[in-house]
Amino acid sequence: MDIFTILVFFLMVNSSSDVQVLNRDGKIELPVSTAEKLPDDVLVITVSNTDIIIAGRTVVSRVEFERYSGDVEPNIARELEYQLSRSVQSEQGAPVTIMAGKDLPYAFLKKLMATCIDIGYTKVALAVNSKPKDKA
Amino acid sequence: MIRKHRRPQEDSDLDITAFMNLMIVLVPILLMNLIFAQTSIIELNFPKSDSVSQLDPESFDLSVAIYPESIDVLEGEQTLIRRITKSEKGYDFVELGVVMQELKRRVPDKRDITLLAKPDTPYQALISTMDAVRSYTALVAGNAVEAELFPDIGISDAPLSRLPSNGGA
Repeated sequence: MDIFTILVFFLMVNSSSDVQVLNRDGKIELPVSTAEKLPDDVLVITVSNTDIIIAGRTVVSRVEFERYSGDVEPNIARELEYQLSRSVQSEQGAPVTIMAGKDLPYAFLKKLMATCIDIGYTKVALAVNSKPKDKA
Repeated sequence: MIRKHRRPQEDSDLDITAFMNLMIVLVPILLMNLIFAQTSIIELNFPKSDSVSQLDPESFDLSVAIYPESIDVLEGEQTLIRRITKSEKGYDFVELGVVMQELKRRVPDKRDITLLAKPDTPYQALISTMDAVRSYTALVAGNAVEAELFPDIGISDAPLSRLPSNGGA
């Protein structure tokens, strides 16, 4: 019986590292989509209600980000540059996943994406909650 | 006679305690995976340079503009193909899908489309529009399959004012 329990815990740890734990606490209400592609294990930028979090570290508050009028926000850019320098360089541009609530205005998203692209994260993926398509 | 008697005795002795323990651990794991599997992604590919790429005036350039009042399907900068007015229930993405299928029939080789959004366009409207223009569910021999429409999606700013609606097809 014990060996089974150990085995199960081992499998549990293994599988949770395979499947990326996105949106663990469910605080962010992701937009609903019919997309079925599973997220890859890449850098995640999370836009919470108050802050912008890159790879689990709070970088800048949303208020401050919104107040910045240019296209490339320097705090985000600095953090992304650091993350890019740590990652394996590739020709096609680094991938990044943006997790944001469904009520986020486009202007906010655009500024965030422009910053990502400027640094070199050109493969931007948007995290969504997948729902099967209803009969059209 | 003895043999016949022994058999039910063995059955009643079957110990499933270990198996039950396994199940108790297994069920939460399966539940956990079920919840996380719901998150998926939409991939966008942007050109590496942040400069605006030159548009080829000869090519058929399709775009979908999301306005607070309607969704406009545009060709190039100036030609309005279809205006889908927003009703009380929100945008009509079903009709947008139908328009996209019609366009795909006319230009089967085209894969790219541009979404034009206003600064205050909500994220959900953007995503739903992407869903409508990316693929549709087709019935092939009784099976529902996702048929491709315009999967290469670009995002840009919408023109400030809507085109007059007299160009509708």
